[in-house]
Amino acid sequence: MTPTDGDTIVARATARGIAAIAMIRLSGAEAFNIAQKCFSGTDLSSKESHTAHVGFMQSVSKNDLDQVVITVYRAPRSVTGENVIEITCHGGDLVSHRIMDALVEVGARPAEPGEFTQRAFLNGKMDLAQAEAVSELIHSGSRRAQAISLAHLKGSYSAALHELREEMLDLCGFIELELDFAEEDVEFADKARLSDLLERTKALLRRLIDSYRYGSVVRDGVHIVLAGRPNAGKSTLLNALVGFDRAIVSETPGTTRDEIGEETEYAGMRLQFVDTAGLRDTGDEIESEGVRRAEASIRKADVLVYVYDATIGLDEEERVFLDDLMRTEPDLRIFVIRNKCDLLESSRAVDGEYSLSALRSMKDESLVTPLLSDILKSVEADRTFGEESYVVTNERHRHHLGEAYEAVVAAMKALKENMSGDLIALDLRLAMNELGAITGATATEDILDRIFSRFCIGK
Amino acid sequence: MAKYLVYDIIVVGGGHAGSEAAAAAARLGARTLLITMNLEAIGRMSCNPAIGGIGKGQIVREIDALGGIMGRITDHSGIQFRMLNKRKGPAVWSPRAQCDRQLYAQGVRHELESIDQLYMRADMVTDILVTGGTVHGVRTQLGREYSAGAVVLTNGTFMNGTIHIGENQFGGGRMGEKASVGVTASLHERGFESGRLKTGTPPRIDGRTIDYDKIGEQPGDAEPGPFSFMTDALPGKQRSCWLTYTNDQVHDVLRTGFDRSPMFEGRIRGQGPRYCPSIEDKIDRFADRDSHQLFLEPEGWNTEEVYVNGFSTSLPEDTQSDALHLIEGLENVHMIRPGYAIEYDYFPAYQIRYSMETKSIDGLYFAGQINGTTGYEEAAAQGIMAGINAARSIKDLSPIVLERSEAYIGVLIDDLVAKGTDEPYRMFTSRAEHRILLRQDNSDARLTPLGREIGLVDDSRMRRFEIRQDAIERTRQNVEAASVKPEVVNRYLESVGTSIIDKPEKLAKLAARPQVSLKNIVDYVKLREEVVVEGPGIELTETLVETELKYAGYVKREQELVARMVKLEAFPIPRNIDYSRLDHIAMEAREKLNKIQPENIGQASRISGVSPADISVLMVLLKKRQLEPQV
Repeated sequence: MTPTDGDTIVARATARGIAAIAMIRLSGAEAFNIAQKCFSGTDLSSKESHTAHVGFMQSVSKNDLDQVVITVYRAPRSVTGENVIEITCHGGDLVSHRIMDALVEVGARPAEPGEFTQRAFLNGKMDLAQAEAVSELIHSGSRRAQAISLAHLKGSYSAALHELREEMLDLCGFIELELDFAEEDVEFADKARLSDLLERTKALLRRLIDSYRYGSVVRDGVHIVLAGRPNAGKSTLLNALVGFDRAIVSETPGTTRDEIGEETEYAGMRLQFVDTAGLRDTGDEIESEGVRRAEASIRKADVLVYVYDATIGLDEEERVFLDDLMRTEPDLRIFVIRNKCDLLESSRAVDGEYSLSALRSMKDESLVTPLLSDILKSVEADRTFGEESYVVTNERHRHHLGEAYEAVVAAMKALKENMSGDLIALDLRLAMNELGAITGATATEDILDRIFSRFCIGK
Repeated sequence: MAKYLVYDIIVVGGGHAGSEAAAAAARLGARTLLITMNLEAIGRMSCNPAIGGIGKGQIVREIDALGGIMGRITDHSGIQFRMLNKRKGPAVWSPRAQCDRQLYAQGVRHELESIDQLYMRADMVTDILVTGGTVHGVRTQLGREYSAGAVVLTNGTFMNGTIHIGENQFGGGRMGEKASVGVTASLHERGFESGRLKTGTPPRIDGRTIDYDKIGEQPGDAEPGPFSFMTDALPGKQRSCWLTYTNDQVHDVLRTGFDRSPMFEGRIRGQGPRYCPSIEDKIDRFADRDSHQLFLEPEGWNTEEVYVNGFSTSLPEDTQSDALHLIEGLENVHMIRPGYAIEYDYFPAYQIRYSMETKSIDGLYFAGQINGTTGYEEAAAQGIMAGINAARSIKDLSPIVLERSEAYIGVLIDDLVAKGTDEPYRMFTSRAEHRILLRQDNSDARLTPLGREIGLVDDSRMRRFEIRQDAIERTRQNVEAASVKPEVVNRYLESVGTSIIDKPEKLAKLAARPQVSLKNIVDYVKLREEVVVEGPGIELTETLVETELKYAGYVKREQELVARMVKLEAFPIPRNIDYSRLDHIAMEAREKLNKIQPENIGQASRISGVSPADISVLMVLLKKRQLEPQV
């Protein structure tokens, strides 16, 4: 039995919740017949691939459920490689639920998580890296993340890794020649060339690994923590940054006891703000827990926006705290905001700090634009490749790239120390295995398990 | 049927595969008959008078560790011993010996004659007797039928063998010996597929006509090492090999014979080995090289016959002779016999299982060149495994299959069965992905306990093995416990070019440094008596321990890789899958999978033409239970 003659699966391809339209997807040999049983329009099985048809979806008792557009994709020219029907209906959970119920009643089976992608993979529509890219695309929260996932889906990322692996295979060939034909007068591996190839491989791996810092930020959004003394105006600034009243703003210090998360998209990048409890020693139990959490958040963040009240100034303790952070968290980008400048009689800019009034910024967004754009620039600085396809966004890929890198470094060390070729070759083999694990060349059962369990239903 | 016509096992052929197969089967208690066309040719070295070499020496030590015969006879008949690749890592150290051709063959014959229940018969097998898919005997040229529960075919280059020298071609299995006819046709009738392979051998020359003063000497090792773990001493003296080179003039003369060459004129259709090309092939394919290296190898203690290694050829005899005369040191050479090429039938190994038993006929086993390999060592390795498994099948015991991480023999058989071969297959260390673990020096630790379990390792070998392992273990413990002071060791450390120490250091730590020799350092710091426990045999305990110390890190990483592969091997695939219906696997992969029918995902992943993507698909199908056998 092959997956193509397995059953026909159905799932909603768009997210739940209120939206203008929703899409339901059917995949399997019987997709056309099953859809037809609930469709009042044209005869789908006679239609060409990649054509759209308007009609009414009906329940089994022939009640109209919704007016829909049905798109026909014939195997193998579809996402899964099987016959596929896409039903675009009106948004809202109720309508799509009723359509799905009807389809299941006439023979479709609700898809398991990742089943569509699994079928696509089984039918040779995509390799492992591409299959993962699909999963990322589904989870991607911003335009940039989508751009990268799309680039991965086109396969260029896999191709680059494949090339790396091929190059390493060549390298191994040289070394093996020397080991297996030592008795014959063959030409031996040129050590300079070998070390040059290793050097280039290492550099490329390094750049890919480094791109992950940017890649993970693009995937998950930039984690920005707002911190500062109580009543420094963090919540007001948060409201200004995301553009509406979210945090409770009051003049009483310590109003924000819990962390408040907020999201916005700026220049195609997802920004995730966390407003924290004011940092101070406090007897209030709930509040001191908030302070502890704030410190933990800061250490996990990509960006710290530290807010202080310009009318009071940064005190010694705050300076020590910031210096300490700079030393212990070298990857943390810190922006210091001199807030409430509107309350100063005369305001002078302080180098390296942003002087602004959060209160005024709420009415005039352009006042926070320089801060936002600088935050973005600092993140962009981590971008090691111009092309989206070379940005690593997948944690598993980063892991294997890291292992491959370690192996290449070990090989270089062994080469430098004049170690024997059999030992250098072992390191190279390890590196090739790691790269293969990304494109599927040494896909083990657990890799597949992990990947498929991550797939969201419907794709 | 008369009792003398009834055996448990019949081995067809008395070469390196046949000898090991017959010896193993008989020693496991099977009443065994070895049928060969010429009893005088038992154990004969058809090509160069040498055993071992890179990747091959490891195989010989493994055969020995299992209780086979090749290692002991090599030690007995060796005239020169060298450890190749000594300047590289221990994983690729490979023993090689020049042997006395006569002494070697005599040794094999003597060994076989000493085994109970092993009988020989001079005849030619022409037919395999099969009933209902199970073999039950053989028929010979003389019309005799012998009955047996299992038959091992080790026909070498004899099946429809054709010898080529220039424009001459004639039937023969080896120069001066008849080809074997009938077996191929008999197997074709039963649905087997066969192919043609080609191999070649160089001319032999008279040593008295070599001008040794003009050419380079290659002596044996000053401290020769053995192949067999049972050997206590090797011959006191050794014979040297000699090195010379071809030149432009030689190449020009050889080219004049190309129009009469059976290779270039298309008379030879069988595929020859790419890594062991004939001299005409070398000149043709590497036209930019004006010189090729030749080894002149003596054929024995008491003969002047010399083998011209590197000059394998099937050019006309006059061309061979003319060209030899233009080689430095061979100006006055007398050629004793010309080189020739030989074509023979083989049966692509996808037709056998890992046990060496054929897939379509129960009780029929193939070993050696019949499976497409080349080399005495490769043949012997298959022979011993086929002999073991044939004997086990008679007793209804499950077959012994060695893993790739366990032995070169495992690599060899897995390569043949899973990948097949369309050129003569020889072993290389690079074929063994776990070669760090498969060292020649630890073959006994890897395989002797298994040999004991199988029943091929006798009490004396086992006792010796245990003493040796104990000596190694105790020496290792001592080396790990002992420490040395800076003042007694720093001079030595400086002299070998490594950094000195400023406080006492563990001996094990120092021995792990690449520059340090454990043997030398224990002598230098006068700790030998305290530290080194001597073991049996010629190999030094401290050298074995040193290797383990130096490569401990690499060994550990290699073991991790093995563990990963073991997971794949543990992913079984049912037999009789119709892969042709799996549309989502590449066409080439489907065909290969259908032929080979791998037993698990690990094996499937090594089949050439089966891509990683195909493997992923197979794994998912298996998981989803969508890969079911045909009904």
